Amino acid sequence: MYLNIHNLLWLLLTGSAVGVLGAILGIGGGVFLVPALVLIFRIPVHHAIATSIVSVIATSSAATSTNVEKGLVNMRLGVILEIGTVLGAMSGALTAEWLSEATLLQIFAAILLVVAALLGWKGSKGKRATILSSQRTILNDPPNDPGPLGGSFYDPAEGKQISYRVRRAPLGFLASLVAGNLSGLLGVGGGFIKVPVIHLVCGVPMRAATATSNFMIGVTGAASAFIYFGRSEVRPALTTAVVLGVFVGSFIGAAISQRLPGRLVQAIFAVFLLPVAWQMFVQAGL
Amino acid sequence: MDTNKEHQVEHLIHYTLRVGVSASAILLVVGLLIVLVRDTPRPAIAPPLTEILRLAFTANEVGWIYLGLLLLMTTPVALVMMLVYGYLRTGWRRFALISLLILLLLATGFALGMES
Repeated sequence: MYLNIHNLLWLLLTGSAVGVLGAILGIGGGVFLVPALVLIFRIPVHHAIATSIVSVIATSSAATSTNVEKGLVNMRLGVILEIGTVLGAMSGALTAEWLSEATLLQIFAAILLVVAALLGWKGSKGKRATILSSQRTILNDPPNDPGPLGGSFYDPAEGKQISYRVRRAPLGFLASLVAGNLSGLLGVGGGFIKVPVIHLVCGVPMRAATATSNFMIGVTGAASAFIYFGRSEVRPALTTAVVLGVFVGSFIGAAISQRLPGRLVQAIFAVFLLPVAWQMFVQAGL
Repeated sequence: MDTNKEHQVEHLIHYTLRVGVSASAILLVVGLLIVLVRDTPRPAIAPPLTEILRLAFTANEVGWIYLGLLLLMTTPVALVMMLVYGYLRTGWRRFALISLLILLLLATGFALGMES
């Protein structure tokens, strides 16, 4: 696609919309960006994936810069899980080269169905699971040692310091390998896997789990981005327009997300993703 | 865990990411605006790293865009470098070693990309 002012404006707007959605739903924008670029702008899926990976790096780096200063990121747990995601991302990016456009679209459509199911679950029963998970690992007596991987952060909603232990890190490592592989293969951040795993499996409180996932997403993205760049699939003007749009949109989304009924929005988009997945299957020739 | 030591590493990461994102955003915005105004042709194949640097330092807008994208993509790499440095400085050798392993994996990804 040749980029003139008209195309640029549409790409900026699309990027902004994706950024807003990603911030509101807390899952990153890749699951929306790739279908938008493929279905609306008719961009080849390999280029859409490469563009998405670079935009994921941008939003992750910007969010982590703030989260890390607030002490929300569990960097020690993050670096351990990161070995798995980086290995997965590199293998995913290398595999993508050998897969046809139709196969990639089919895998993406299947993942959209998984994300829709996860969003629907979060919108209905997720809160109960969240409370149960946190009760098991949060230390009631903060001076207790949270262990080598545990952490603590100040929660303004609770008005106190939250300390927690980490459990089942090896299981988290395996899930990170899968999340990294999907990231490298499909250009998504993989937050829709990482956040539930870090929170529900490893027992990290939700705020810290989201921040830690965001911290990991940028590094995971970088592992595969160089491979896509080397194959000339990162189109300079297209990627720049989308990245700038996503960047602006994620700031707007973060600002308005507190005022929206999060569970209702998640349920609505869970339903919205179903026809998008269907369109991806159609595009793949099924 | 010593929280003061952890805060030192966190500050280092905060500033690294802020500098990386800001610098790349400036290069991308300026580069894209000039490309659109001048309707500069864009290469179909990504130029090699040395060519990107040559273009960028001769004030070529396409070079600025490529440099901005590369800077953005290397920002997480700089984050991991700072983790290695920060953890070594604070005496957490185990985490420094793990971070170093990630850095080596990222370097492998970079080498694979440049090779193709």
